[in-house]
Amino acid sequence: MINKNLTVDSIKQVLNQSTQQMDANTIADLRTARNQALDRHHALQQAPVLAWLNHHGLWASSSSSHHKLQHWGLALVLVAGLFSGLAYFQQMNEHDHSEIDIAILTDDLPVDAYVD
Amino acid sequence: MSLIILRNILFALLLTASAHSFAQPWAALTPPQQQALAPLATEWNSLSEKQQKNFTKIAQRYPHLTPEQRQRLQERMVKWSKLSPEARKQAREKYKSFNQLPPEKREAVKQTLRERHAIKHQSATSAVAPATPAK
Repeated sequence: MINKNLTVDSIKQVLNQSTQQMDANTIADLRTARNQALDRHHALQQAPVLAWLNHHGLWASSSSSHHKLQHWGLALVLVAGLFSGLAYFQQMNEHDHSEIDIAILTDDLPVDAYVD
Repeated sequence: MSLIILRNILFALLLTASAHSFAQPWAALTPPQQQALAPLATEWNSLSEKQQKNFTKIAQRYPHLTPEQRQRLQERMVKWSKLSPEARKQAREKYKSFNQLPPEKREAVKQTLRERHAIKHQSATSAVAPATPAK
């Protein structure tokens, strides 16, 4: 049964006592995991876009040795995205001539009348 | 991790490619589209993407045309497809400005154009026709 009167300090004390009872391997694993988490947090704070992508499952954050590769990859994805966006925008802005073309092609005057 | 990066790049590149390509082979057109664009069947695959896109839009409107309009459209579409983009642009501009004229003036211009076209057509056929043998 958990004592409702436990304070933050007393919880800390209990946790610290428990840590002292752990074997060395577990402590080493926990330390490694903590360091990795801190590294990742640090890296994501430096690149908010990566953090956003990571949050949405579009990017896998990793240790610092892969950062350069990640940044190049991200740059490529962004360039490709930008290119797609521009192409789409250009396509949307293209004039639709079909209506006037039909009018010319079905007019009682021949096409030559408008071309000459 | 590298695989995830590669996957994301490939995905982006595929998106880029799909945003760009409209080119449709003749065989990919629907039967009603093929029927509307039948005169272009042989040269369809050599048309530019822009032209193909324009003609597929024309094909969409084809069912709403009268039989006479359909006939004119099909007779003229090959010639239209062979014009340069500049010539087509010029024709559109000419058509627009022509339609801004008052009806009576438009009819007069139409009459003049019809006569001019008939003379041109007549001289072209007489130039091609073989000479009648002298009696």
